[in-house]
Amino acid sequence: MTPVIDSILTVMLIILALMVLLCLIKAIIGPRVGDRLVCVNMMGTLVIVIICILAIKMKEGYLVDISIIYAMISFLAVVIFCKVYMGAFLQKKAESEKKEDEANGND
Amino acid sequence: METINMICQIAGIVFLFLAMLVFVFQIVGIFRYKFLLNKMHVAGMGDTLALFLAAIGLILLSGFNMTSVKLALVFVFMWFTSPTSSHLIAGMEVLTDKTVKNHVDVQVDNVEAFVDGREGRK
Amino acid sequence: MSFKSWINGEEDLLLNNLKTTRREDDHVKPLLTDEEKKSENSKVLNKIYNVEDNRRLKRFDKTYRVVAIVFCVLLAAAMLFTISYLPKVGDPDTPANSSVVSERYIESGLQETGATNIVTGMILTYRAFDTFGETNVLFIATVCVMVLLMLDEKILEKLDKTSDRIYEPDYDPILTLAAKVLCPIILLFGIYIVLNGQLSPGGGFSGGAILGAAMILYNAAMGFGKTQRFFNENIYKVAKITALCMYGLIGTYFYITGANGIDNMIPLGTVGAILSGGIILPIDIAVGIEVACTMYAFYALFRRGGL
Repeated sequence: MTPVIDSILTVMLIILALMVLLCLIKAIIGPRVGDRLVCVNMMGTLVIVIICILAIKMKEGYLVDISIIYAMISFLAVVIFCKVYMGAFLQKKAESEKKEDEANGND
Repeated sequence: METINMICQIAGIVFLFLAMLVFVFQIVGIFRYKFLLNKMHVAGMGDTLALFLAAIGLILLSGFNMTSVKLALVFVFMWFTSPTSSHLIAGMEVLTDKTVKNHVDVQVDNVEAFVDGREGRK
Repeated sequence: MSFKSWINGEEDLLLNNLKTTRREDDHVKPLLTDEEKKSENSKVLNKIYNVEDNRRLKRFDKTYRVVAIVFCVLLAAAMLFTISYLPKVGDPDTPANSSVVSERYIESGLQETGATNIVTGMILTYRAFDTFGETNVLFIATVCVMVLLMLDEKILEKLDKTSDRIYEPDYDPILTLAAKVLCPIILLFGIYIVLNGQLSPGGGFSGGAILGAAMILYNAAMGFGKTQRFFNENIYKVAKITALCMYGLIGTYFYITGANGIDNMIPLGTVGAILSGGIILPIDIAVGIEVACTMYAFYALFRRGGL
């Protein structure tokens, strides 16, 4: 690991950190739930690449284990969130349809 | 041996820069596109490509040892999970967005049953 | 009797006991329909707050955003400033590396515990009593959540028909395939981290969290019905209590023999092998089971109200 490569990796880490910041800003702005989820998913990917570059830069192989765990947790978050949100949305829709049916039936 | 090492490291840095470029495209796409499925397309496709490039770059930089095998494992894992989460987000979006038919041509009549997988089950 | 009917408005005592009948509500026309009410409400709100013309409100809105951004930037700057004072990795002059206790851990930890990972060796042998308390905290936390959220079987059956879980897509072919492929790998990885606690970073707590996450993923993809085939309430109770008792017994044995200078029956083994480290490996397994059960139980209790 020459010092040149080391400094190049440092610059890359800084650029990636700025990208994570931009993603966070977009996740705060994002008007819909889907926008936020896409941004959060992408932040997970960026953080995984950051951890992998750190593992190579510091020559600590065990950091890669952490990135496996991070990938798993971010995937799990997206899965659970999507399922719960879809369930709640469909329940609301079914209830409003039921109310409309009742209103129509009374007329 | 020295020259091979040198070439490997330069190639690794080049691959990492390409991955960085794809990430920049992703950020631009997320900010520029108005419709969510476009954003999701950019983010999801970019994820897999950038991870592929970054994996090759990092493995070339580290050389062949236990760390590189683990790195390959991470990226294979991400190739499974990233498209799956993109699929889930797209399903959620098509289900919850009422104006989705203004943007794309939805070819399924009953979206709920399609997202539920009931159509594939019969 | 007549007083009551007067109160109810059926009879008028003053007008020669005139019988009156109530008007049927169906014929009464409401003064305002719902939409008119809404528009009236919004008119009133507009008059009160006057969102478009109220300068103070606008100014407050703008300053609030600016102040929020400035506050976030200042907070980030303060944290980065603090980070620059953190010691470098492997610096021998830090308090963590130079105090008397940690010197002893570093110098003779490998000899006494047989674990190459100093942290696990420390928290599971020298400070095993402390870690036992932590495991008990996990146990008590799940007990409290169960007391608050656990529902009866009959209520659960009723709830299963009305809650939002029946609406969520329960068969997603892509997610199901991904879970089928990934769950065994994640479980294997968790077991690897639990068993390698004394050799590499990890141990019972992190490995147990991974095992729990794998179970949550399987549950999200397949539903509660399939998960209950291999992990239901009875298995949960047995696993959790057995793990806690196992930790207690091993810890007690270790403390009695170690504190009184009696020879310990558990061999330390060769350093670096999987079966090494004396009591660290069984305690790691117990802690791993405990943490996995806690993770999954929290998810199941908050999602469904039962395991």
